[in-house]
Amino acid sequence: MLKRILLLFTILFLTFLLPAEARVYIDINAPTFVQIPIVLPKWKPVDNTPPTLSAKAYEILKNDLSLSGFFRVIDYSRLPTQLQSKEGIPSTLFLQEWMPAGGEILLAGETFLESNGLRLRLKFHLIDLVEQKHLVGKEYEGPLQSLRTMVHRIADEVILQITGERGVHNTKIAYAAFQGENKEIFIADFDGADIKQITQNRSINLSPTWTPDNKKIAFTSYLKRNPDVYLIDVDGKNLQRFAYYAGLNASPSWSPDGKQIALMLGMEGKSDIYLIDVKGNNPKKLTKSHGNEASPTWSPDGQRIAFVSDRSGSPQIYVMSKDGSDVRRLSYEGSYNTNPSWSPKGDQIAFCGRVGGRFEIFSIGTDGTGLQRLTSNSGNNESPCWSPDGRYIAFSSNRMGWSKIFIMNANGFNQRPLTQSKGGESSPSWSKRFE
Amino acid sequence: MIKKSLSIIILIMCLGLILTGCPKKTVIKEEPSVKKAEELAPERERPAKLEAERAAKETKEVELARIKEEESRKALEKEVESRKVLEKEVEARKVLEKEVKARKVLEKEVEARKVLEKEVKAKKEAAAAAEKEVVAAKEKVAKLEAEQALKEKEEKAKEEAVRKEFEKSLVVKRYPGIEGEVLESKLIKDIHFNFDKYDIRPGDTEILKENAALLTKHPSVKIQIEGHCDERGTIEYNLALGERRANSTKQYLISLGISSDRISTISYGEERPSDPGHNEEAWAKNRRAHSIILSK
Repeated sequence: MLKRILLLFTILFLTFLLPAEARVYIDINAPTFVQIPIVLPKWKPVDNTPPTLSAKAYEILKNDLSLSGFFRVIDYSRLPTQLQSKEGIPSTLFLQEWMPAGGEILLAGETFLESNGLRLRLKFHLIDLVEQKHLVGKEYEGPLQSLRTMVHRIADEVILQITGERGVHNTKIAYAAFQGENKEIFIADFDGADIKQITQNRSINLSPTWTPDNKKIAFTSYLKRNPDVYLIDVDGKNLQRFAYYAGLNASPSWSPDGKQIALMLGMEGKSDIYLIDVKGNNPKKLTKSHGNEASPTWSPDGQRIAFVSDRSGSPQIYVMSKDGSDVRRLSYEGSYNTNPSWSPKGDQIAFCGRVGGRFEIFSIGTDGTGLQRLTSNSGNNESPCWSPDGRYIAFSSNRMGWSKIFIMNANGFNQRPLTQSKGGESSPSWSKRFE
Repeated sequence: MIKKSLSIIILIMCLGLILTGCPKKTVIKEEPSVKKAEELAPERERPAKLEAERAAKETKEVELARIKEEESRKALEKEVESRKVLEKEVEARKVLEKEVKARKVLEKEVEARKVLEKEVKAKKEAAAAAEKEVVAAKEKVAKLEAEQALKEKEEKAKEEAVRKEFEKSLVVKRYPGIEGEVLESKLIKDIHFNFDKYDIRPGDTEILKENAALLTKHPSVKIQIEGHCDERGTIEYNLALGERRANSTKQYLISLGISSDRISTISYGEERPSDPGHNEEAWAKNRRAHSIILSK
């Protein structure tokens, strides 16, 4: 369905293309950066398009841009009076009048609902106010119900122009959340909208993970009175019991090529890291210590696996090659380090560590250097997981009383809850981009 | 006593006989005079007168000699008799001696017999004592058997009571969204763990021994040990920790003689706290191994 919608998109490149000597607005590799002030004039409803539709597109875009963490959004209501009522895309001839807005960049757009009321066109222009020039302008067309996706694509495009890499607004986050006394699996968009409950079995459903094709969610469930790994389509259909060896079956992690799955199996009376094939067969034990082994995560090059082991007496982060050899310890600070997540760029591992009785999110270089604490003094923070572009980390935090999914920039800035729901959420897993 | 006095009398008699034997010596001394008379005989061939005298003398002498002879014969006879008596005495003595010997032998025998008798008596006594003991033992055994029978009865009653108590303690438990209906009994007790630990605490071994005793009493019962953690720490690591807690509990029960095929394990990690609180007291309660009954 989604694919069909996406196919319907018509992307019209306007005459203004990105100049060859593109200015670097944000160095995303820097540990800290200053947010770019971006001016957002009111969107214009063209012809008979209802103004509410325009306003909706505007709100989604504004939220996307502020969630991205790259921008300080200057809302039209905060503009000088003479600019507040200006709608739509300004002419390049009158860019000078936008100087008092106080922004470096201006993003303007128009919505056009076709007369049959079913198809929607969105057009945007991105303008550099400092250099007084157009950066990019595009038009998207799709069914009315794809409004959100279309706006997310605009936001991603803007981020591509500014940072050199596309944004992740068209990604989803799966997580487990209490539904009464039971935990069910949910999916939400990056901006926390469009929450869908995909399991309704009233069992205990834990730690969801996206399959590499973005089509299924793997999770652990107690349906058969054993923690087994199940697969389910993102629309909640085709539940399939996937790994159900004796004892614990949990925490699957697909290799980047999608051919192998690392997971926790307890068939020998304690949890170890195993590899199984895509059908859930041929388990091969990788860990050989007497400790408890947990939470495997693949390196993006598919050569190594990071995991948790308490072989030293307390849980710590270790890295091994994919055949179980060459094991080395990565974390030495603190006595409780778990939940490793290998960054998509391959250079960092995020994990959860205990500091002074509280759990915080850390990141560390894969060579064991550059330990960084990303959360502090705000409840317990657990289960970090990277966005597909490596610029964000989702995690769970009970800083608001209830455990909720939070998202922050990879450097720890811009922490915000994913959804506005009451809470009881845990174990986020970030999808790849839906193209 | 009689025998002793008899022997004394005999001895006295013997002594008497010996003493009466003494005249023999005097008889022996008179012998030379007899010989003299014989030597004088040739002188009788002198004148008549002399002859007559001699004859008278001779008759006298003959008479004397005869008397003497008679006397000597008598003495001899006496001697012979005395000798015979002596011999008899000797024989008697010998007989006596023999008798004495025999008596002594007899006495010895008697003594031996006495000893034997004593021994026999002792043995008999011992046998009697032994018999008594046997009887006593038998009585004891009977008593014990009775006691045991009583005990067994009591035990059976107890077992029945235990079974009934166990049956009574069973509560049906349904976990929403989890297949199957299981039972719970407050008689199978939980054990608890320290933070991030899965070893059995020394104080909890008694609880496991009680649980094992209960399982021994109900050999058809199959249990599932649930490993639980407190809410701190991460979900997946707690799944591993719960797995280990359930299994260390299972291993302990196996070491107490419970068959491994009667015990399955499951880790619930931090998903099923028994106390919903968010404090140390609640956490301590929640770090536990809890058992449910899969089949009774």
